[in-house]
Parts: sequence; C-alpha cells; structure tokens
Amino acid sequence: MEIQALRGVSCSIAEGEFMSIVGPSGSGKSTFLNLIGCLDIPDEGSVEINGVDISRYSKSELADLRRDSIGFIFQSYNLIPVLTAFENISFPLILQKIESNKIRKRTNEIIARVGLSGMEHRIPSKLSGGQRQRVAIARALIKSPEIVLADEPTANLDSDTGVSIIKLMRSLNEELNTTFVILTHDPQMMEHTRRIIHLKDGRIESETS
Amino acid sequence: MILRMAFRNLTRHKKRTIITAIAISVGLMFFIYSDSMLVGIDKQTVQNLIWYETASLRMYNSEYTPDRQLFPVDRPIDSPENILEDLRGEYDISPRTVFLAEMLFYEEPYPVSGSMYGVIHAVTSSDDTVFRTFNDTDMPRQGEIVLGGWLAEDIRAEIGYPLTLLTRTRDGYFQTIDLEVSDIVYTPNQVTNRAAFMDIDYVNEMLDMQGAVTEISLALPVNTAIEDIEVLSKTLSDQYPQIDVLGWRDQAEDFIALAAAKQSATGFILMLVFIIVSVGISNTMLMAVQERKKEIGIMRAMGMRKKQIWMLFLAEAGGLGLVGGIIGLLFGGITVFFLVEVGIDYSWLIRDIDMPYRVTGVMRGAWNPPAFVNALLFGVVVSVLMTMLPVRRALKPTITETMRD
Repeated sequence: MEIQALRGVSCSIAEGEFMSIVGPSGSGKSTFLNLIGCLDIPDEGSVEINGVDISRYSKSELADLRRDSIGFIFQSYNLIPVLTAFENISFPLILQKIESNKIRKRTNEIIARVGLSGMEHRIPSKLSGGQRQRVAIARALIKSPEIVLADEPTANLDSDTGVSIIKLMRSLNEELNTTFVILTHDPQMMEHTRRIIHLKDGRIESETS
Repeated sequence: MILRMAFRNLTRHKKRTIITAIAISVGLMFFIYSDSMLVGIDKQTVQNLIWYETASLRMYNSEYTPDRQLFPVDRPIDSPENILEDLRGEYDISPRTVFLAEMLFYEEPYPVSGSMYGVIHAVTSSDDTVFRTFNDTDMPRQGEIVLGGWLAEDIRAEIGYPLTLLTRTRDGYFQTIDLEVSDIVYTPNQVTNRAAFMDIDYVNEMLDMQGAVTEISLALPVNTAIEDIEVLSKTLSDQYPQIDVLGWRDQAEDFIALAAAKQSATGFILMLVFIIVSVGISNTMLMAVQERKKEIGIMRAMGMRKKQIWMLFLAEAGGLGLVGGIIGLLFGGITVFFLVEVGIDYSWLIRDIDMPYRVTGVMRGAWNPPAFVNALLFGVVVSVLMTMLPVRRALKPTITETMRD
C-alpha cells in the first residue's frame, strides 16, 4: 500500500533562518527533514538547495553535499561511541580530508564555544546528556554548514539543560548566520524560533512567524 | 581515523573479541599442528625408507623387477662384482640377496611351536654401509640369523633360540637351513623390523646363488633432489642395459600413494579450519554489524562514503583475524615445538596395522614456516571474507531505513 508522507508541501527556507517544524506523530516531519537533509529523494516534486534540484545528484554527490553543507543533530545524540568528544567533533573535517593542524585548531575553537573545554578526551558514555548534545551541536557546526537540521534536540534533556542547548543553538545561528531547521515538540524551543511550520497529515496546516 | 575506529571497535566488546580471536587461533593452531605432523612424518618416512629399506637407488635384474614383491631368487644380478667395482669409490653401494622363507621357530628347543613366512635379507658384513640397520648391532655370521624386533616379538624368539628356514635355492630345489638367533635389531622402519638378516656368503652357499645377488643398493644424501636421483637412475640404466634402476619413490609406491591421498586430507583439514574460523568470525561480525546499523546510518548521513564504511568493517575483521592469527601462530608454535622436540609415541597404533609410513615409534613434527604464513593469511582473509556479507546487507537499505532500525 502506498503511503504519502508529504502532500503538496511547498516552502522555502532562507539563509540564516532559525525555524522549527512542529506537528503530531505521523504528520510528515521526519520525511520533511530527510528530504531537505538529502537523506531521501522525493518520489514527486523537487527539493532544491541553492537552486539545484537534489534529484539530479548521484548518490556520491549527495554524500558530498551532506558532508560539506549539512549538519545533523539528533534526539539521541548519535555520537560514535568509540571516539572521544574531540574526535567526534572533528570527524566531519576528517571526512573532508582537511589538514590535521587545521582540524585541531578548529575543533579546539568550537569545543570552547560550546562549553566543553576539559571534556574533549572523554568518550560519549562518560558525558551527561547535555554534554553529549553539545558535542553533537559542535559536530554539526564544525564544518560551517549552510544548514543544520535538528531532530528533537532537547527531547532527551531536562528542562534547564534543554534551555541551555536552545540558547547555544540560537547564539550560534546569530553568530555564524547558519540556517537551523528544528523538528520539535518542545514549547521552549518554539518560543525561540522565528518561524514555525505546523504540519498535519503530510500538509502544511499553518505557518507562524 | 578509520584504522583507529576499527581498533577501538575491537576493544569495545573485549570479551567477544577475545573469544572470537581464541576460536580463530584454535582453528589455525590445529592447522599448523596437522601440517607439522604430516610434514614431519613425511620427512621421517623418507629418511627411514632411504636409510633402512629402499636406499636412494636400487638395481635389479630387469627380469626380476616386475615380480620384485615376490623376491624371485632365480632372476638375480649375475657377476655383481662388475657393477660394484665400477661404482665403488664414487658411491656408497651395498649388494644384498633377499628371499622368502618359511620360518619354523621354537619357544623351547623342541618341539616346533609354529611357523610363518618371512623376508630374509642376506647382507654382507663388509659392505652394508648403505643401510643403518646394523649401526648398533653385530652382523650375522655363518649359521646365524638376526631378527627384526617385531618379528622376534611375533614368534617370541630370544637370542640363542634355534630357527629353521624352509626355502628354495636359485635352481628351485628345497633347502632347509638351521640357524641360531644371534641378535634382535630394532629400527625406526617397520618393514625392517618384520624382516630377518643373514650373512650373504652363507646364503650364497645355501641357495646356490653362484655369486649372484638379487639387488644392489646405492646411497645418496637423504635430501638429494628427486630430479637428481632420476638423472642418475637414467645414467645407470643406460650404462647397464640388463639392469633396472629404481629410485626410492619407485619402490615405495604405498607411501607415494598415501602422500598423494594426503593432499586431500590437507584439504579436509583446511576445510575444518575454514569452518571453525568462519563460524567464529561471522557470528561476531554479524553481531557487530547488526548492533551498529544505526551508527552506520549516522556515518552515512554525515557524508561518509560506503567505501569508507566497508574499509572500517573490513579493517575490524582483518584486525580480528590478525589477532586470532597471531595467537594461533603462538599456540601453533608451542605445539610444533613439542612435536619437534618430544614428538608423540604412536607405536601402540602402528604396531598392529600396516601403515605406509615408515615410523615405528615417536612421530616427530617438523617446522614448516610456509604453514605459519599461510595460517596467518588464511585467518585474515577468511575473517575479511566472512564480514563482507553482513556489511553488504547493512549498506543496502537507504540511510533513513538504516537509521530507523
């Protein structure tokens, strides 16, 4: 049986936006995120990034696009368990084959920026939930992506930690002009976003700014 | 980075890695042990064949050769002194007359307590240097017989016991020879241990051989290449047209047939090792891939190429194979050291069965460095191969499907 996860959705996201996508389970939020994250290709319609339809890209070109231009932050952090915080954060730059001294410098800078100094040599299991999410944010931002896609980034965190993570993302958005698209159920998160798209049954139900 | 990740993933589940590495190492140790034993027995057999039974080369009257298993004394090499004089000085060379006889033996001097057929080697006390049978035992003289150890045990003979041979002369007349057991000789070759030995001059007289002998044996160093033996064999055959010259391989057909069959045995052992190693590795890598499907999805989402993920898992598998291989080499080395220095006494097994191997007591292994290299390569290659299927399967779904699992 064919299920249409998204129907008639049309929206554009400008550079430097800090927006959230909300909606109940099954509303198509994850599909929306997967499409703009180049993890999926639409069966119909098109997704354009910087004016180029991603369905024109081959699988390896899509992998390069994700590697260079898109950062991901996940609800359950999804860090690589065998790598230290430092190595997890620097991982995207290693994939980009950047020189090791540049990687070290850039990683140290972002570690300081997300407040993880002194914890860089810990592996994820030795970090708290908030610290892990900071590592995930640093990992998403280290390569200076054009867009960061965050899937329920505060869902597994307590309220105070959640707020600190939201503030961190917001300040990074302002500092770096990086676009943030955040899937969330968290009212605190919605409060901090400038634009909210409400999805229901695969359609945009409403949009607030 | 990929190698570092692979290494850390191996240490992520230490117990699992250790158990798998030990499973691999046991398989490879078994392979190294078996190989050492087979190579060692082969070496011992070749040495014991040449030193005690076949010599490097043997010359027969060409009419004798087809029936040589029956030891027909009526087709000997006449005037062997011509050949002996030609070759003596250049090679170590020994004449013998070998014949079949019914042996009547006595537990007590009388009455006769039994009889059996045996192979009697008539040897020359001054000229039996090709063989090592009498290195520590006195040669038989006129009226004496030296029994191989197993033959003596079978007929319960002791030194000083009487023994009567019933046989035929060169012309086919029945002949009875009364002898006394002068000594009992044990060698590492069971064929020799089941034979008996007499003085060649006495046999010449008793069997009316008129100076002829049934065979002339020639010694070359044990490690002489087969090709060199064949060349010499051809040269001697050309030199003596009425004489057949057979290398030790042509005489030890039973052993050569077994050596050929052993190739399939080696294949079978490799198969067993393959099963042990593959079961161990595939189980571990299947679990490793299965439980890290989401991780694979994350890495792909971050832009890691499939090729890099392949490399990561294959490096892990290769590392596991390498660790198992190194432990296997260590265990294998210990077992080979034991086999070479101490050996295993299979005499209880060999004594009552007719084995083509010429090893009567302690079987010793041999160091065979290529087997160690092969074992290590085998461990790594099988590990890598067995990992390919689960990785391939894990990389087949889309990233979102992988991350959902």
